[in-house]
Parts: sequence; C-alpha cells; structure tokens
Amino acid sequence: MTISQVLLLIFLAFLCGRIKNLPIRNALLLPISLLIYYRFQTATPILFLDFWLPTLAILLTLLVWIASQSQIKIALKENAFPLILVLLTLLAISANRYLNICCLTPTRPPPLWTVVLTLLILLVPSTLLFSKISVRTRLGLLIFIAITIFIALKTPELSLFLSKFFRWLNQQDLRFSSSNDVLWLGISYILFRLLHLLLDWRAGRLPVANLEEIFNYIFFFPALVAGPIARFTQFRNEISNTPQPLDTIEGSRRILIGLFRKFVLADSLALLSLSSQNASQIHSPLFLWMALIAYSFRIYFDFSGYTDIALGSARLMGIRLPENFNAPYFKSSLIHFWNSWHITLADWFRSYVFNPLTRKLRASPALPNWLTIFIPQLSTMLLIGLWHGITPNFFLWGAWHGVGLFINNRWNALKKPSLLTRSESLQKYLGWTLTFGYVTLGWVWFLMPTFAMAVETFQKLFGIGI
Amino acid sequence: MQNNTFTLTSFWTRVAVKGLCLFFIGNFAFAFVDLKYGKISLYNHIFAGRMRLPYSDQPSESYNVTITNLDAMFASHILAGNPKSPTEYRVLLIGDSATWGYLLPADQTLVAFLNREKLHTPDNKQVIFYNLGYPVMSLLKDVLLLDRGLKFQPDLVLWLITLESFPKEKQLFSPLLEQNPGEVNRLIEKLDLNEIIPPPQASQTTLWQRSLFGQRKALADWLRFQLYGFLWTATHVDQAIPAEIPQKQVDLSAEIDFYGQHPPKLGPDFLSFPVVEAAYRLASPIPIILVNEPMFISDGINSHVRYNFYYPRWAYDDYRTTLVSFCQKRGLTCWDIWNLISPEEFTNTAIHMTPQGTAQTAQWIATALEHWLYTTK
Repeated sequence: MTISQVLLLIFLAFLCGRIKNLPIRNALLLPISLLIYYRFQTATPILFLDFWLPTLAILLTLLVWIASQSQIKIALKENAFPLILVLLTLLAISANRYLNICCLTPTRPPPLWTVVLTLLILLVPSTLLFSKISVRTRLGLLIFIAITIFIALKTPELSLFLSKFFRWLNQQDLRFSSSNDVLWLGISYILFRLLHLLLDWRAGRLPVANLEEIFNYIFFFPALVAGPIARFTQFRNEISNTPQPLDTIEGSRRILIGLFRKFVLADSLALLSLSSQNASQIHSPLFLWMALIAYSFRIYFDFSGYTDIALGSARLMGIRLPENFNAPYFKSSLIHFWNSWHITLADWFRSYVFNPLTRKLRASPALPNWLTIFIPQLSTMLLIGLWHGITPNFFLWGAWHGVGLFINNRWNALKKPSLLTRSESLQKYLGWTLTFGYVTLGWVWFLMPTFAMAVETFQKLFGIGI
Repeated sequence: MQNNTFTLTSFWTRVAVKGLCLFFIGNFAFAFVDLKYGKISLYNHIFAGRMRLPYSDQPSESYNVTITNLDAMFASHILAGNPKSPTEYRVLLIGDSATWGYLLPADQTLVAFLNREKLHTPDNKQVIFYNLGYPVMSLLKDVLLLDRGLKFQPDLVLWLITLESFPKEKQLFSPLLEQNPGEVNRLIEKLDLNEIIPPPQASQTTLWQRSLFGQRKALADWLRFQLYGFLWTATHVDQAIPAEIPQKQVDLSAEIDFYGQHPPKLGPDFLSFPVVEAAYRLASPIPIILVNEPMFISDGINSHVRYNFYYPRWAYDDYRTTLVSFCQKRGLTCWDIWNLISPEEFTNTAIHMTPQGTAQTAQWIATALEHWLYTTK
C-alpha cells in the first residue's frame, strides 16, 4: 500500500468513527469497504481483471453466506437490505465505466451488461443448486472451491495458466502471459476468513449470521490488505460495541507507531536489506550477515507497521482487532517466537490444522509419542510456508521452522529443571541468540527465489566458497 | 461521559496547537538556518567513498541516487576521504558521461583503467586519478565540477571534451546546473562569462521552498543516498548495467545541419571556447590537458555526410580544426584521439565505450601523460 492509500484508509476510519449511531455506521461500513476493496486493487495487464477479481471475491462471500442458510428464501428476504446494498455497490462501481468518476477503480470497468449477466449466471444456478443439497454438502463444496483458489493463486505454474486463460477470454496476446498477472489484493486474508466461517459452520461451532455482519467481517477495510485474521464471533462482539472517546487517542497513537514503523523504519531498512539481487553481489560474509539482519528487521517493521495501522484505524471506530505481533525478536525460544509472530495466522493454522491433526494422531496408539508431535508441527509449518507461495523454497522455509519447533519441543521435554534454575539468565540469553539466529537464517529460504541461490547464500554467510 | 468528551476535546485541541507550533517552528527554523546538510555524509566515514559522482537511472538496482546537492555529491566522493599525501600526484578527470563511465562498472571506467597503469612522476610521486566526470554534455557543467574539484589540491586536470559539449545553447542544459542556479551565477560572475552565457534567472526561492517541507524531496533523496552507502560498500555496484546493452545507431539520417548551423563552417561565436579559456584561468597555475574524446565513426547509411548520430562530418571537422588552432595559439597541451577506438567498441551511443575500448583509451592517455610528465616538468 502506498502512503496515500494508507492515509485514505485512516481518514475513512476516522469518519466512520465519528458516526455514533451503530446501525447506520455498520450499514455504511459495507459499501465503504467494498469501494476501498476495488480502489486498492492493482491494475493488471489483463483487461478488466482488476474489476473481476474483487467481484469474484464478493460473489464467493455471498455464496458462502447463502450456503450457510438452511432456509435460503427466508434468509434472502430477511437480508434484502444488505443484499441490495452489496449488489448496488457492485453495479455502481461497474457504472463508473460510463460516469468516469476518478479513482473508483484502477482501470475502466467492463460494460454493465456483462456484469449483470455474470451475476445472474453465477448466483442463480448456484442458489438453485444449493436449495437441492444439504447445508453440509454446500459448505464442503465451498471449502473445496476456496482451497482450489488458494492453490491456483499460490502456484506459479497455475497462475500462469490462469493468466493465459484470462487473456484468451479477452482475446489478448498469450505471449505476454505471466504468473504475476493475476494480482488479487487481499484474497489470502479473505479466504482465511471465509474458510474459518465455512469450517466452523460445518462443524456446528458457529451460529448463522446475517449478511451485513458477514460482509463487514470479510471486507472490513482496515484489515483488508494485511490482516489480522480476527475470529467472527470476536469481530461481531467488537463491531456491536459503542466506541469510547479514548479509543480515538489509542487508535491515533497506534497509527502513528504504525506509520513510523512502516514508512520510516521498514522503508529505510529496505535500502540496506538482503535481496535476491544483491545476495549475488555481496561477497563479504560480514556484509551479508548485516544485510540479512537488516532484512529480518525490515520484514518485521513492515508487517507489524501495517498491523499497527490496521489496529489503530479499527480502534478509531471503537473496534479492537486481535494483536498480530508481540515483540517476536525478543523471544528466547522458537515456540515463543511463533506465539508472537503473525499470531492470528498461527492461531488459524493451530485451530484448523495442528490441533485436529494432533488429536487424530494421538488417537492411533501405534504411533510413538515423538511422531505425534513431529508430524503436526511439520505439516502446520509446511502449510504456513506454502501459503506464501507453492515453491520449493517456501516449502523449505516451512520445513526449517517445523524441524526447529520440534527440536525446541524435545529440548524443553528433555532438559533438567535443575539446569534451568542454576543458570536461568545465561540460558535465556543463549536461547534468544539461537532463536534470533535461527529465524534470521530461515529468511534466506524465504527471500531467495531458487534452492541454488539459497544454498549459495548460506555458503557465503559462513565464508564457504569465497 | 461528558467529562470524557471534555477531556478528549481539550486533548485534541492541545495536540493540534502543539503540532502546528512544532510544524511551523521546525520548518521555518530549517529555512532560516540554511543548514548545509549536504556536508554531512556517511561516506568516507562509515561507508566507503564513491569512485564517481552520484548519478543513477535505477536507484534500487544501482544503490545510487541522482542528487544535485553539490556538497553531498562531493562529500560522498572518494576524493573527499583521501587527504593528499606528499607522494601523490593528483589528477582530476572531468568530462561527460563517457568519462563518468555510463554502462561501465565502477572498476572499469577510464579512471579505473588509468589507475591500473600505476604511473609515476619523474620525482617518483604516484599518479592517482579521480573521476569527476558527470553525465550530460556541457562545458559549463564540467567547469562547475572543476571549481569544486580544485579544493582538493589537484596537480593536473584532464578534460575530456567533444563537440556536443560546445554549443552555447547547451551550456545551461544540465539538471545539475538547473538545480544549482546560485552556484552557476556565482561561477559565471567569477569567470566573467556573463556576455557569453546569460546567467540563469536568479531563482529567489521562497521561505516555504527552503523550509523542511519544501525541501522534503531533496532531503529524502539525500537520506536515501546515505543509506545506499551500505550496499555500495558491500557490493561496489553503483550502476545497473543491463545484460543486453542497446546498440548505437549505425544508419544515420541525411540531416547535415548542426544546431541550426549550416555547412561549410560553424559560426564564429557558436562554440563556447570562452568557457574553456575561463576554465584555464580558474585552474591556473594547475595545468589542464584537453582531450578530444574518442567517438564512433559509422559506415552505415549516410555515413558519407555524418560521422554518427551526433555529428555531420563538416561540423565535426570544422570543430577539430578550430580546437587545434585554439590550442596552438595558446600553447596548450591538447590531445585529439577522436578516431582512436574501433567502431565495435562503442555501446549505446557514439561516445560510450565498452570496457575494452575504455582500456585502450586509458593506455593511450597513460602513455601520452607519462611522456608529458617527463618532458614538461
């Protein structure tokens, strides 16, 4: 996000925070969030894609909500107002093709009739199909679709295929296709939230909700681009709270911290940080370590800065979003690091991957205890790694942390309590050094686009082959 | 609740008032104090000094930024970090982008190759060359940099020139000059060039423009440039050189006019030789050697009327004749190596050379300079 986008977001949050009437504010949040969602999309070389992708996310959310309803017709009637609001917002953005109001969409939207036709083609048969199958089957089908979208977007080869497909639809030159063409802002966080709803609805852990609540939860504009991933019930409680006067002060303080972290610290560190470009140009291990450490801090300040801005903006409206970071680089073990780095993502995977898998493995007595720890830890971290992109290096980054967590877990189980009490501070210091060093080295996998480049960087870091 | 609202309102009022006060005090203090922040540099202290003046088309790939603050430009240069030792014979090279080393790594510029020759003077001082070349062809721009460079006690100046730097209308046509109108005016005044080059409109910057807010772009560029010092020190990369360098124009237009001049001769006042004379006055008693730099000579379409993209044959031939006569009349040392380098050693323009072409030029200059050092001193 650019600074002007961030300032726009803060300004809108401030305005929304001034509305004291909660039903009106929450009804307004819906179109504002959708407008922001369209506005912040990146223009792509594929015709109209920056319109169709957010439209698809909106339709998917709509289908998820419809699928959760046992009485679809009644639910549609009861939620007619937010439904009309969503559709009108969508059509109004599409009508910008003719009105040409500045900056509503990154490029000119497609003709209105194609939008109406697409809405009809996607919504009517899906609703009819949903009325024929059980809620559980519908939710299962949508879980499959959401995961498929995730995989398609995160796999470079599939993204390239999608680019070619979209270009073919638009009769554009296929030779210019690239896996970077399909830029779908915020889709990761949208899918995480949708999957949370789908999985919990399917498990009967979550009550059905109204359409306005669902849309505000999925598209809540301060958290659209970089999270955090709040839980629905938590968000619903917050959005129905009346904003307190001191929320503005706390929100502003948080925003200022975020702006400083992102636009001063992270952006300055970006000029010193290790990258795939300079890794091959730096030959001194000392400089390489310095650049790598700069990257460690850069990624932290960048991400935590955005989180601060999101949390602060939400707070201007009296909404408390969950924390995403808790001084992760001060932690003295990898387990504690992962409890304080991208907390909401880690919690998501803990709830939907780690815990169910651990329960399942523990139920089978044939497996040794260490394996019931190792398999879930490794699988969870591999999935977190692959969430960043389905490439060998993200896989290895996940494996690096999975193995690290397992070693940390075994060490905790094996170490003698007497040792801990005797030299607590020394252990803490050693633990911090090891954790920071391990996490920092792990960023090499994350940063380098190929396995060979990562290995070469590791070698240079330790003075091998220089 | 009322109490809270009251507290909040007074809080925001205090924040707004204090914020505005600090904003205005900070901004105008900066404008009044005229802080010479360009002189503050991490280069030559924390980071290695740069081998050439900062210039970049792609900052993120070259770890370099085009800044026009002369103080900051020179403070980053290796020249500012190398106090002259008694055993050093210091030579400054000034000139255009070919001297700066466009499309050449920092260790393959003309200066880098000249330093590899390890020349010594008859009294056994080591000859050390420094690159003060800077892109865009303008003699006045070269003189501006020379003026600054003279503060670093050079023993000799090598000035690489070409016809394109000479037209009067090109003298002020450089972003570096446009961004430093005060310095340019002072130089024009000092060198008595007012009648030849009309001084740029004395830009009376407003207080607001000189404030912290008004200077934010320049300050941000300066800060970015300082931070890039780390990657410069770590990589010694200061220019992003593409894997495939675009090739120079070989087939030429049939146009024979040159900046409105028609054959057979350039107008008597067209070439800015007074600027060259002024440079000699400025540098005196330090000698300057003029080097008419190598250029690409095309054999493509219309090469019978033009040497290359820049020059019709008649104009360039006339310039060379005038240059020789200028040097002879004043007893100046001038080296004309316009056709020294074979055509294939030129890259994207008629003056930018490959490392091989640059090395050949350096060898020729080194030989000539050694001879000059041993015969002149």
